[in-house]
Amino acid sequence: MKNITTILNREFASYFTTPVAYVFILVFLVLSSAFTFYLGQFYERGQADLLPFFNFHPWLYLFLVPAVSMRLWSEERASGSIELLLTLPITLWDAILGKFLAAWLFTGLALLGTFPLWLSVNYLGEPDNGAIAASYVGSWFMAGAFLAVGCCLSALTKSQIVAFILTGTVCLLLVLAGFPLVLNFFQDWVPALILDLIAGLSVIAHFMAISKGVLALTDVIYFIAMIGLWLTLTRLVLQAKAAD
Amino acid sequence: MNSNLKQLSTAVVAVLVFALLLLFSSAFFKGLRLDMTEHKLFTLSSGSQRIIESIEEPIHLYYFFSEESSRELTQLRTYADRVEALLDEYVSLSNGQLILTQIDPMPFSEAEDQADGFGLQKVPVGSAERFCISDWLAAMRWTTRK
Amino acid sequence: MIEVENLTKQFGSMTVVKDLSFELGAGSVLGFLGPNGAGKSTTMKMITGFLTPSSGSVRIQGYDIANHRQAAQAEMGYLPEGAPSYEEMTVAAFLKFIAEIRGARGALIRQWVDRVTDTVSLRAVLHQRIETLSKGYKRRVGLAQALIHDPSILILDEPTDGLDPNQKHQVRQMILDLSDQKIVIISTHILEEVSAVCSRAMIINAGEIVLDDTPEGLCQRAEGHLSVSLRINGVSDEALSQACSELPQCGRVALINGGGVRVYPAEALKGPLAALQALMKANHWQPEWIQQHEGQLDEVFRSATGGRLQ
Repeated sequence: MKNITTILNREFASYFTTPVAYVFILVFLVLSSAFTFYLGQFYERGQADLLPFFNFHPWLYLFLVPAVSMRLWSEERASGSIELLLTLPITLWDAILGKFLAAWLFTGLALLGTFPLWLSVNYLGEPDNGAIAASYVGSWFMAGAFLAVGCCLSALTKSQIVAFILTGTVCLLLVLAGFPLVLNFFQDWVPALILDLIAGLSVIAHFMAISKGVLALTDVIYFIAMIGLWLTLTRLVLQAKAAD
Repeated sequence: MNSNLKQLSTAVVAVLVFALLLLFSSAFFKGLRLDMTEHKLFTLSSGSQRIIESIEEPIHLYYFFSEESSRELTQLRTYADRVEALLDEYVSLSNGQLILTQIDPMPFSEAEDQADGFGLQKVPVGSAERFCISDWLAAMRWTTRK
Repeated sequence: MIEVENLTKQFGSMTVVKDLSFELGAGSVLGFLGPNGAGKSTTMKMITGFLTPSSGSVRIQGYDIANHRQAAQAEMGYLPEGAPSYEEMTVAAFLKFIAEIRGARGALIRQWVDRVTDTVSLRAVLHQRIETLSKGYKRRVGLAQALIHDPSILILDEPTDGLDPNQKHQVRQMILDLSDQKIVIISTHILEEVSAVCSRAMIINAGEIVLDDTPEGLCQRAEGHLSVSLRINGVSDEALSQACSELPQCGRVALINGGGVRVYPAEALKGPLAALQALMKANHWQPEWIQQHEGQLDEVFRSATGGRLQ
């Protein structure tokens, strides 16, 4: 446990020693606000809620989260520091969880940075703050799931660009999984159980379910299972690379 | 080679556990949820719950909503989302006795004829040609609201 | 105590380390010598638990690296090839991080960082970011993180690579100072380093140990060890070499460019010097000059590794 927090602290601090963190937070704030006000027609809707803001999060995360996760392992591999990290007396889980949690906290921080929007809707009307809180939780879970995917894929390669593209692609598939377009494609030739599974993979469905204001255990389990699966795969990738 | 086999089996087990969780968690943990909305929008009153749980023969609900005509009517779309969520809630409590069918009445389609058959009126809205939402559904929603 | 048994590593169809076995007790400094790509770094990566061997085992102070990885790693300090670190951190923050991971708490962290800062002279750059430092300083930061917990075993992959002669001397002195109670393994391709610090040297070629001896012992295996070069006044080199090659103690005889003859021993460790002196006395020859040679490590190295460019 102590090892995890030590690694977490180091990783978290390292985000802020380079301009990357500030650029990321700035881009996130600018894009999410732009989407909300222009594409989401925040004012035109005349509704005091943050739905147009949260509706864009899955798409925003498609390229912002891979930008955070691509460096998790690829950078260590490229600089050779992975050899230092993995010969310290820690378990692979210590290293994986420390890194993942630092990245997850970092995206949480960026998410919290959007609080002026929340203040605005409260100033403009009487939004359902419970639903907004649920949406924030859902959005953070979704970021966590994407980060776990990115964590695993960045362990595969020393190239950050490759890690970025792979992560973006897999996350896009996860987002699209619930869309009729994709389901229709599979409908005719896979068994119903598999079709349910593909539909159930949909990040958007689970995110939307939470963001309407209901935190159902099923949705929470989905995100935790997603994170657990990809971090387990990360560990396997690291082991396979050591034996390679 | 032995460790490769071990790793492969770990991966397979992890994926299987994940798939099982995904497929069956909704059945197992159906009722376990926290309605965080201030007015408990998605929590039905105990009276409504009793009625829905006591339905004895299947009832079909048809919900008409035109995606195309409502494209510019963001307020109405938000409202439609709420209606949809509430209907889902009814269905999930009904032990399969409520069967919901969602229909998008595209112009000149069979679905449009179906809507006519139910006696739904086409109402011109803004620049869009037509738009329909079931009066009956709106009424139903009204009665269940506290 | 390090026990390495039948260590083998294959990358695909290529065998990089073949059936390596050795034992090493406290107080020894082992030098891995070998051309680039001989498998030195791969061996070190397996000893420190970064790579999993294809077969064979490594035991560190009794802990098997495969089954008790953490316990074994806690006993070791490791400087990986190229001295990698987290370059965006300051030296102080980096060392503090390593100290914490290595188990130091509270005031002990400071104490460890302070001690190691003095050992490798990092005081001047303690609050600079590692990426801004020179290659020599980066290497010292790498040494500092390996030494910080005062480990009983040190594994140093090319510890003096990229250092200037003064720094090299400093690092070697440091290794010598440490070596009394510790086990040190260094890899290098600088031969003088082996003679300077190692109590045991292993020449590795194509993944196999070809020679394993003390540095002195290795030198004695050189063909030129105890060979004699000489020139005699008034005797032609050709006539001299003819006379020499008839002596049973003399092996190969070669003419030296620019005059003179070099006589190699017929049998290792039995130099022809005495026989040559007897020959000169019998013929009343006066030497213009005569010299006996010590074996050179690079000769051994070249002959053991086939002298090929890898």
